[in-house]
Amino acid sequence: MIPRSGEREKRDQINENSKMMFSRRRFLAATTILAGAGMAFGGVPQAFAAGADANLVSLASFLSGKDVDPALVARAGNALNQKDESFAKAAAALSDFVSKGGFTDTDALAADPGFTPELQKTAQELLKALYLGYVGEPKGQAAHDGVLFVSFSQALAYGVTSPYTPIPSYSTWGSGYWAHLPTQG
Amino acid sequence: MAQEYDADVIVVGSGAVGSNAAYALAKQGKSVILLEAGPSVPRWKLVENFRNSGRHYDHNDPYPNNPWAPTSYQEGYLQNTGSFNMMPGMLKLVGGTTWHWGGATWRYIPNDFKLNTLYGKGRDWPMEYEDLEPYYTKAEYELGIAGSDTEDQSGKNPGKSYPPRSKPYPVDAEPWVYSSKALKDALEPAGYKIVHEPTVRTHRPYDGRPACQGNNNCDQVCPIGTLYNGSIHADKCQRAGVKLITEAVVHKITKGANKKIESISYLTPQKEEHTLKAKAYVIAAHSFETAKLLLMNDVANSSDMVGRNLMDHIGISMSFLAKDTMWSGRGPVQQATIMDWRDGAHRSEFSANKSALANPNPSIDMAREAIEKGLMGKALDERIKDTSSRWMYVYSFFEMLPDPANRLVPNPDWKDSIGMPGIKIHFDVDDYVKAGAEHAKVMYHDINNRMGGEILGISGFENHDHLMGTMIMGKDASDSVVNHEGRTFDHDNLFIASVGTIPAAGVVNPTLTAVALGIRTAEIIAKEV
Repeated sequence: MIPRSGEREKRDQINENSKMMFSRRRFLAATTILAGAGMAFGGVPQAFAAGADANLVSLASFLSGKDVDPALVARAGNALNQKDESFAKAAAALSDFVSKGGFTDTDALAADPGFTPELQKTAQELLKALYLGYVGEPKGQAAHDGVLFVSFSQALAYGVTSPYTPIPSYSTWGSGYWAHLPTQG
Repeated sequence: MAQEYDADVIVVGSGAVGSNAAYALAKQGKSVILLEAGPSVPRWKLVENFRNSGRHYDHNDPYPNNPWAPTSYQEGYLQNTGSFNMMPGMLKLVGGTTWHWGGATWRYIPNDFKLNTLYGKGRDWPMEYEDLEPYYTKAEYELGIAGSDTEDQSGKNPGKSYPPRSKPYPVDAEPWVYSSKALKDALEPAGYKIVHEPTVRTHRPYDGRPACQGNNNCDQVCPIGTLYNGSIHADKCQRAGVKLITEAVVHKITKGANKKIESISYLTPQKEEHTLKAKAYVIAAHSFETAKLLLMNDVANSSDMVGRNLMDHIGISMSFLAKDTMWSGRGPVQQATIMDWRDGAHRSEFSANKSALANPNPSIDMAREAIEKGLMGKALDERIKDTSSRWMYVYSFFEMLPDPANRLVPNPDWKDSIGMPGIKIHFDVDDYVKAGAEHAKVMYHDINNRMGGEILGISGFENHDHLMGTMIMGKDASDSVVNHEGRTFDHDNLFIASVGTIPAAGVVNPTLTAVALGIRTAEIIAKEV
């Protein structure tokens, strides 16, 4: 079962209400409609209201083992679907497999013989979008490679390392901090 | 009737070299026009471009890539026909390509100027270290270099500061990065010679620039203006009365009587042509673009050497996981430098090398590797944290020798929006470098062992964007484009200020040398106009 935090349940409630209005497979449309739905409910932060499909948010959280901002998931979903329109269907299949499997964590998922290469590929695509902050295959020394932006400072890879190394572009630790190892880690 | 001029001197190119040459002329009261093919873009927009793109691996990405002034990565602009894919990261905006660089600002050592005499390889410079030393000092103070006044940068003069200097560095050396110090501590007992890299990333406030905060983004864009780039002197130029014209693509150099250049012309993005006249002209428009411009106009090429002798510090690199925690990505992007192979008798047999520890944040690459291995959830985060904390990256430069067959020419089969040709390049890595690389690999394995590490990979040959030789400097007009002044042999009032004039590549980043040469050229011109 995909773990759910109380906060995520609140967001999911909004998404559940919105499901009647859109197809889960159209992430771009979903984002737009959800933004309106959030406003209608009142008191819901816009970032949450602009969240992705509830199942995709839950899937992202399960695969990464942590709460993931629905707005980040929405951007990842949009970019993945823009790059490959079959992604939404593949993500739905993976989400369905995870839900029905009742997995306690990703170790259990990885060990399941039904976790086919196709499902693995979908999981990796979603994780890459969330952790790397982009979708697509980088091509070096080229001005155009079709890579799509998902996030910079919210990329989950930086979430792992930012207590120890600054996210490139702004450090707040002061000149000379680099002479020592971080106090934690 | 007296000749009328638009300026005493016209400088083409507002990068670090051109802007410093223009500023040196302006400081002497000369009227100067500075032409730049690209636009002027404020720093904050470049930083926003960087943070709003998913293409962080492309260091050109935050910068303008206009149809009339394409960057080097514009598809088709550079076409390679040799065995090596020469693809430097070239920018076109006010300030030039130093908008993204590691900031390394070394001096050559005296033996670098006498490569042929001492080692029987390549060419000598038509000047000696002592001729350039005063201009190195001027360049270091203009750019605000932080460096050590006690270290031996040659690897051959233990216990003394080397090369000789007439003034101390304007800023003292950066505090050691933890990982650099750890490398130094592990290797020095085995005899390795490790020094600070001199840098324009000043860690103390200098000339209006703030102290480095360790943002670890030099190779993309410094967000706070600590890292020097040519726009600093382009701005100074304007305050000193220089007329900066942006989006002006110089395409025509018109020859006049008596070995003189009569005028130059540029096109606007709308293809409007403007012609300007000056007493002297300095072309400082990147070593590729300058060579292309000269070849397009059949200028300064009686030797047939324009565009030839292309040299880069072609390199290799090794990534490995150290035994202990290092946290690459904290602070400056590069610092500790291994000088064991910079100079010595081996240069008569195989290429010298300069090897250094880079210090970028590896998190994104580590995440990609872990995800592609199938890791998810907690195991994924643990792997990213573990490998990011121990990842290290050593890279080397080799000393290419000048070979006329390594060359670039205009490519009429590719045109930009105003009809200017692209560039065709033929470049092969020579045996001298290949032999040097094998020696570097032996060192890599030793470094990894001494760090208790696990090698992740050793690369093939890589670009390092140090594009020397294309307007090669020498004593003889039959085999060289410019003399020691930077003056073209064919045209008394046409000068080249560029790393492209460097005739012997050595193994250190050449920008400071080109700025020093540019200031020297400007002072020579100032006496004549």
